[in-house]
Amino acid sequence: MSSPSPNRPRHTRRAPKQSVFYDRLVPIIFVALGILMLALIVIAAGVLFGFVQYR
Amino acid sequence: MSLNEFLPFISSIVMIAFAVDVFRRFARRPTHKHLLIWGIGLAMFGIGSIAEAISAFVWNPIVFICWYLFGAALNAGWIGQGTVYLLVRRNWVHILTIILVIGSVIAGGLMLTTPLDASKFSPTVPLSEQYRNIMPQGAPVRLTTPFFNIYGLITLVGGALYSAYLFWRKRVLPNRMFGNVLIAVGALSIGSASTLTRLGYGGLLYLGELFAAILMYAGFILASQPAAVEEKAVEAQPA
Repeated sequence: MSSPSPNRPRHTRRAPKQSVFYDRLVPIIFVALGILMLALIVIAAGVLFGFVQYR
Repeated sequence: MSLNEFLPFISSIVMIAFAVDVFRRFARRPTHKHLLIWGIGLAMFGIGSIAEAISAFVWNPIVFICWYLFGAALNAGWIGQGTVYLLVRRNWVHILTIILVIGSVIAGGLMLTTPLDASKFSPTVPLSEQYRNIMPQGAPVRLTTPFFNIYGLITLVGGALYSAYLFWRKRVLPNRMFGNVLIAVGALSIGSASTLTRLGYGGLLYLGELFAAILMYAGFILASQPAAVEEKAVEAQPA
């Protein structure tokens, strides 16, 4: 049975080098979420300045 | 028990567990102020959910005040401010906190002085669909919620997306990237549900709160995992 080494090397988790999900889908997710965030900010600002009537 | 009575209880449990977890981490690392501010914001979210759950059975003006003040108005701004502490290591962040505290006190004062019409309350109707009947039209406190919500959207959602983007661009720590995406999605779900409520469609608020609680907690756990992993070195057995 191997004993734990105090100097065992450590590395940082990394994303796969080539991935359709990482390279194509994730950026689309970022953009979609960003657009939704901006839309909600605009609506809230509209409520604040009276352009959007809250009920 | 109907869905409207059941969902707030589930959200409350998740949010309380989340807030307790965050406060415990802050107790272990008291220099991490973002954990304290997050904990305060999450506790507000939890109080709002508990108030909703109670209101499904009985009317109480203090409970309604807690629901609107903590659940509808303040929590987004406070959770977002925690993200600001995480991402921005500058002294001026404390000034934003002071402004947030002053704004919260003002909102609290306005809420406490808002007359409530208990005769319009019905326990069978979700609070999100009847609150505008209970509060007077044009109540000043309702004008404070867009400030906190806008600030929360920019800081919490924007901060989570920015963090996720950084990890994506560097192609490191995919768990933190996904964790931040989950946090952003969770925050946007409650933001969307709140916006619909404000526009007169309050039926989805409880669902939005539940999604927010689960997704944000899951994202937090995922993003909080240690950065480095030890290589599992296989050592040859001695002869």
